[in-house]
Amino acid sequence: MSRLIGRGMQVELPPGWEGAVTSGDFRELSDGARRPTVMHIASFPLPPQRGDWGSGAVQLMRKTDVFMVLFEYLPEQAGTPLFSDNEVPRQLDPSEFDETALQEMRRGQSGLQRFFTYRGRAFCLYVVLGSHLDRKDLVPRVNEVLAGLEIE
Amino acid sequence: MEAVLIVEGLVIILLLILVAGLLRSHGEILRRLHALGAGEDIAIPTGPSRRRPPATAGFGQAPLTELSGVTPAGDTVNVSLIHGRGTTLISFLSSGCSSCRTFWDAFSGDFELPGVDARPVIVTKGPAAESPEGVASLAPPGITTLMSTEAWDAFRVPMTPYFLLADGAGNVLGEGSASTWRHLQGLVRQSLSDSRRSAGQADENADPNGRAHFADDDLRRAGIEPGDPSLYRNPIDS
Repeated sequence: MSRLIGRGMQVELPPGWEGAVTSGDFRELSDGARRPTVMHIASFPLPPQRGDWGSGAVQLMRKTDVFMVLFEYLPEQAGTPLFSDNEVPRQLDPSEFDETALQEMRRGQSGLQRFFTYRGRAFCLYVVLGSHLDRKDLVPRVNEVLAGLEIE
Repeated sequence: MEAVLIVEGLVIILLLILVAGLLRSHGEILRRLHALGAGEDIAIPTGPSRRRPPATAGFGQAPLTELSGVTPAGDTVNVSLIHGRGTTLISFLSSGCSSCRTFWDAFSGDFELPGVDARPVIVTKGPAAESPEGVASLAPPGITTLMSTEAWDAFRVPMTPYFLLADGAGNVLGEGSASTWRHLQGLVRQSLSDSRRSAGQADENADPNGRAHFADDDLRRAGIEPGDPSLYRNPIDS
């Protein structure tokens, strides 16, 4: 197991998994948008160029792969109705995954989004499974990683 | 006779003192050069190098199962060496090393590496030893570039540029320095060829891009084609 640490978040990565944490800090970009903090976790080699929600990475997924995103929203979003859950999702259920819940629709894959607030920080957890048919095998691997996720 | 033996003994003692003094001064020079950071800009066009003490945790195993560091933009990155998918070519480069420029440029263009599944990863020293801005200006956009002095220490990188090829299980297939892209390609070919051979899978025709092919390329560039009479001439006669 290795540990991915960045921007007040850390997680234990199973052997062979990779991860990255962008240095968001909500700094203002040239177009006026503010750069969020984003954590990517993958059971496969992450390409260096990829979108916040995994474009460029999900195309590389095999059926046995999972891809996870922890996307931090602006602090003022914390506690709003969308982010009213106050716990880090730790135990996802395979039945929650949906083939239409993907940011980028890909045949055979399925996804899930969970919004929550933790310690004054607003997050969306987004998970992509390489194979919806194998969700009962893949979701426990996701839950194993979520069990080791810490947010300051 | 006794006098000769005494003289011989004295000569031997003097020689021993001289050798010890030379070794000591040589060691002192090396120590001072190392302290000054010398050797980081040295590129020696060698093939796979196995002469330095192995930086392995076990036989053939890389000292790390992952590379962790920061990108020039400040992102935290963990790159696995045991991802089980093809090989990883780790390139230890520096922003200030003139010999490295060839490889920064090559990785930014349409480069070819032997073995279709080789994943290139560039590793520089950490932000305390390298300028993130300098590395950012050189980092190829399509290649993971991370800054990690810990990785350099773990792999005992002896010079720049330095390359290491690992398989998907984290086994080191080969490592060494190169001064040109062609040398690097040869290093990778040789490492892949050696690993196949050691796995008992190689035969004469298994690797048409191996050392023999490399030598053929050199000869062809020199105008010597297969069947050239000079290949069969006795060098003693000429």
